[in-house]
Amino acid sequence: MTLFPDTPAFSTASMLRRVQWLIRLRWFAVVGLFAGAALMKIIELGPADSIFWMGIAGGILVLLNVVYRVVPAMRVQFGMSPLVTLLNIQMVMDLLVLTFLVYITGSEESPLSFFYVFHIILASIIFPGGFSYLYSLLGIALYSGLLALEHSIYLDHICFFHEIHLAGDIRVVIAIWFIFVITMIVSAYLAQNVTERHRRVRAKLEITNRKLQEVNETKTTFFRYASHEMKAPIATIQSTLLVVETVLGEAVDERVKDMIRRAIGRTSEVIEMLKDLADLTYGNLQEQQEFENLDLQLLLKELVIEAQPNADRKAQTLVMKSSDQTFLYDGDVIALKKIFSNLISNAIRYTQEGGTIKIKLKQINSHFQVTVTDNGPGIPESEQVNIFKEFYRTPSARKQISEGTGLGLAIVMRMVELHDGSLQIKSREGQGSKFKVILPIEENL
Amino acid sequence: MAKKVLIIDDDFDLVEAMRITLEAAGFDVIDAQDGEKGLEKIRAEAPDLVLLDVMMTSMDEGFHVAYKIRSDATIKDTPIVMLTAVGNQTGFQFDPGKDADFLPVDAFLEKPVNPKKLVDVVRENIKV
Repeated sequence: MTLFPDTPAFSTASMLRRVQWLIRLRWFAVVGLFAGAALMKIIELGPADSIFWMGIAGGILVLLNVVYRVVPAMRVQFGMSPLVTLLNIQMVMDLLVLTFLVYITGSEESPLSFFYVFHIILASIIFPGGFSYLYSLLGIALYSGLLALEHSIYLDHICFFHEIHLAGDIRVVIAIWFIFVITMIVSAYLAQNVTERHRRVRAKLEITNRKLQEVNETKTTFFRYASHEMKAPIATIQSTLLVVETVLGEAVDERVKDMIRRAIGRTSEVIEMLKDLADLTYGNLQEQQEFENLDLQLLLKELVIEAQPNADRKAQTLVMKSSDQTFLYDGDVIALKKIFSNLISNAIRYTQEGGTIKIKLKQINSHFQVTVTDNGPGIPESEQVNIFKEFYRTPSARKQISEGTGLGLAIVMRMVELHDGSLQIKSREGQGSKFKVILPIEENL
Repeated sequence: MAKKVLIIDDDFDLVEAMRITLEAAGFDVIDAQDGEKGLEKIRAEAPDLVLLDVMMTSMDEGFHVAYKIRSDATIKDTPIVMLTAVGNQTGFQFDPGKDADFLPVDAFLEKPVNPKKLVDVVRENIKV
């Protein structure tokens, strides 16, 4: 597990921006600290030593900030891990300085302990995952340690407000008011920063998403028009060839007849390909989707009956099983028929003569599951990721059966997605294949 | 007298292919390139059957022509065979049995046109 995944959110550039942001924030903290110390001096609140040490703490922060600023600038190429280390050093140092400030302003008396919260928020903005928890643990440890030490013999409590009656003394009121104001402003700033960042990211995602959709729509429209525009002339070419074939009759050279037959075959292949391409775009346009309540079992039975002659030709056994219940489903008839006729015809095509193809339908919780299982040659595991790709055909499929567009399973995938379903394949070489279609049943609320 | 078939289709080559086939089968063939001219020819020449392409100048011109034929009292009985290449393309799928209720045609014939099937369908639907 990598703590810092190499995503845009945690790239070196963005980490460097965070370092700079943290340094900028620290300058404000320094200004606030000096302003606070000056205020204390003016209203003569708190021991003089404490005010002095507040100034020293401010000086340390200035020094650290200069170092933080210079270190990354020294090296042109600043890798990820030094950056992360630098950020962690900054966080830890800040917490130590804060604990020191809390100590000199009266530990449990000090309202500065609010400021631990800001550091935790900062940690959650800067670091991924569990870092904010680690830093809250560190904050707890430092604060608890401070309190524990004070109640031991090792550290004396600094009585910042002496025996001043808290509400009665205007100076205390001013000091606490000052901390309150800072707390409010910093909270607003940090919360704003987090949500703004979140909104920006979301807006970016939305824009990207829209662009992707546009690209997809362009592709779809292109497929639709291209396949339509090409199908018409090819259909005419085939119609013409069929007439020529008929008119030529028996008198003509056998080679010429063969040639025409092959030409007809080729136009058929192209037409199939264009039909498949058009199928791939099916359902992309809203008006095409026609979901209706249908009987999934009946639909499958019809497809099995239609496929029976093809299975008979190869002496295959084609069986359908379903549990004893109704399978009413809201779906697109054309799309569903495409899904299952493709899977069944694939199984028949690629399974050897005498093989068995089983179609099973059942309900599992809130979805229907259709499996098409064959005892054919199976699909090697290495090929299984590819078979759903457009135009892909496995080498053995190519060898076995020359025709085929390589679009069948891509179409199946597309149509399953149209129903918010999923498609799984289980297959081993030499042990048959099993395609599982899962269709979620939409609940009528 | 030979039966007269009117082909309304803007694809000249397809019209020729069908003309050759139908003439060889003993029909007289006339043609029109669009719906407007087709309607004129139906009125003027009273063909015994119309072969009508769905997609010509617009995606569904054929449908409109079919409706116009059916709503004109003098020609409404002319048998119509609709030529479709639509099939999978637009998501329409035709079932002559079912769709005849709302599409006023007698039969559908899908492109590419098989000559034997063409002759069969024309013979079946022509009114003797």
